[in-house]
Amino acid sequence: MSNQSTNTEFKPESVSYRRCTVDLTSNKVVLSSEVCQTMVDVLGGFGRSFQVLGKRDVKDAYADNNPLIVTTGIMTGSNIMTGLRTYFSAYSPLKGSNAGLPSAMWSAGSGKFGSKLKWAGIDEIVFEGKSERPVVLYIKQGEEDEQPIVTLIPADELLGLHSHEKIMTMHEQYKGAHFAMIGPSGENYENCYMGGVALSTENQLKSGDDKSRWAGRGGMGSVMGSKNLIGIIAQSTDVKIKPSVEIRDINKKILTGPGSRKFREAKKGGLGGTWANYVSLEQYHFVPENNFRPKGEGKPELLFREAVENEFAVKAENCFKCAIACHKNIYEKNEDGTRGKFLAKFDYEPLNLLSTNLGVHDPKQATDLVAMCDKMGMDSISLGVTISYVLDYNERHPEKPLCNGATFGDFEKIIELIEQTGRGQAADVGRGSMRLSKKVGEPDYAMHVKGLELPAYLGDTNPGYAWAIAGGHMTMATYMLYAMEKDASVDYWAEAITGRGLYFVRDDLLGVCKFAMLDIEGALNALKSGADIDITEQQLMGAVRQSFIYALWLEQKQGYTKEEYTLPGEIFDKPNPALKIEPFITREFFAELSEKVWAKFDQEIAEL
Amino acid sequence: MSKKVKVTVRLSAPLSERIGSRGEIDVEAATVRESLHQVGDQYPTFKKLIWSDNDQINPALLVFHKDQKLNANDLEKPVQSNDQIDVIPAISGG
Repeated sequence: MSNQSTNTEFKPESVSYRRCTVDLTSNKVVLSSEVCQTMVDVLGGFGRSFQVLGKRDVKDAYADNNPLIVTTGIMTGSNIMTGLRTYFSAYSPLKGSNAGLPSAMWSAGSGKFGSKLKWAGIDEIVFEGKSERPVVLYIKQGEEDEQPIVTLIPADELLGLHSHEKIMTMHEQYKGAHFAMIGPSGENYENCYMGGVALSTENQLKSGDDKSRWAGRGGMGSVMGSKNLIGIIAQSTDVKIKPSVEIRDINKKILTGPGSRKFREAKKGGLGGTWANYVSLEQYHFVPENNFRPKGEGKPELLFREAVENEFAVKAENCFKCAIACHKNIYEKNEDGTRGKFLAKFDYEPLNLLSTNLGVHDPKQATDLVAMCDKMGMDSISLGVTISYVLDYNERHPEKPLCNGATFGDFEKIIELIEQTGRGQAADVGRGSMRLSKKVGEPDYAMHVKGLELPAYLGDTNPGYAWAIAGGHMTMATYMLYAMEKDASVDYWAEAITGRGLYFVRDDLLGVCKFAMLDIEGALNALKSGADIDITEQQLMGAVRQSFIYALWLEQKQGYTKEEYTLPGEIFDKPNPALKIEPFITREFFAELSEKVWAKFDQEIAEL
Repeated sequence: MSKKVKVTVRLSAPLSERIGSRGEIDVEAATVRESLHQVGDQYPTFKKLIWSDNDQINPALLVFHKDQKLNANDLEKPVQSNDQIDVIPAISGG
């Protein structure tokens, strides 16, 4: 990016960014310098990509006119700790309205790919059309002040490989590069709508272990596959600029402040990662079990970190230059207590949705299920929740089971189903819970909202899910509120959803990870010190709010009606007595809440 | 009776934004409990959030002092000058 701002009031027009447009149909590549028109353009991320999507008329996520947009945020590749994010945006094959239209979606991931892309001199890639044959986009930093060199190279040799195998194969040939690759699921996009994009990490390339980060949600890897685009290589020299005093202070605050405690190790004053949610949620029986129906019998405790550590070694590892070390990697434990073979990475979402919520409580089996999902390159949330729907259906209908007849706790059949889904052999699962539940005529226990599966926080505690724009917990910060505040009033929830909840998408513009937990002062300081963007809180949060409201407008453009902003029916109609909660999300409550939320949002959409 | 000293109570972003405060609040107190009460006196929403029945910490929030997570019976711990006390939500992440 180029910033020509002076000491006077900041103007978006002073910033330009480099876009690379790749027409896969004609193999034509165009590099252009784009002048920012708005603050949203300056910040980047999904805010900028959605502006492009909003101008398209896309009826099919796999149509030629659905662009796949790869963006960075203003702080991606900067010296600000966690400034590593890459965003993949497109109309989603998974998230879609009842009118049959795909919804705009983005998915974000860390790793080092985004930094390498930016250091190569590219801020944004727009993929158009489809390639006739499998290709990889290769971006090489230009010499000195020259433009980057961008070419499409054949990728037939990569077909069928796991995403990690693809990355390691390319790593052998392209030293100093980082990679964004799809897995088999993305190749089998017609029957698998939940393919993600694997982003390589330094640790992965050095160790040879499958330690990618993921832009998992919404099937962005499947859109890539539909374009015959197997991956992207970004080759550039690392930018090594000594951080300023101000940046060092910001990074110190990220690393030692209260926000990252959850993700740090206990010996560093932390709780040991998102995995710690197991303990926090289980005190209320809020850990999803057997398709979001906790029993309150203590089974989740079998996957508490301390229980797993009895049998396995856990090592906290990190993304490039991020000392939070949120990756909690599970290794076999040798007899002498040292680490053996790498097995999988445990984050709360994949762990819960691919084990406890499937009735699997054995740690080794959990590692196998998480690892298989990663090998196939799928979104663990959508995969896990769709499988839990299948298992639930099969429990209700033992006489006519779905898929391979898997039931809760049946590890062998569940892992078989995961592999089949990634290989495109289980379209009922691969096309997500919304489509499957409609097909079998039992939508009330399909745990999705607007076609996107719920993360591992119970819908019984979060009416805000209905208004999340790209995934239930990362785009609406209301999932933890009931446990924390126990407020069941309509006014409270309306304020939470239309106010603080939506500002959680701020970091999806900036290019930093939400685990940095920057407060507003920290975010403004980071913009100033890390990107030389000196703006006010009002300017920043105004851009964030505008981006969120625009995304809601885009949903409506794609045919969503107000009735689709709801929760799975059983949350209203079949309260779970095992939960330590007074059920509050009744249909009457939700109708009143909807009215209040839309009164606010409708007005803002009209003012766009 | 311990002497009151300056203590900084640090709140993670969701909490500070919720109660309308800066991320770091300086108070004068002799114990962890008193430090938290001081913040509650300045910010009523914090007071409502942090304390559950019987003057115990809301189990959905966690309190750290000197990098140690505190249990309910640790709240009477004396604080020293320039100590930091962190308060974070127990549930977060992805």
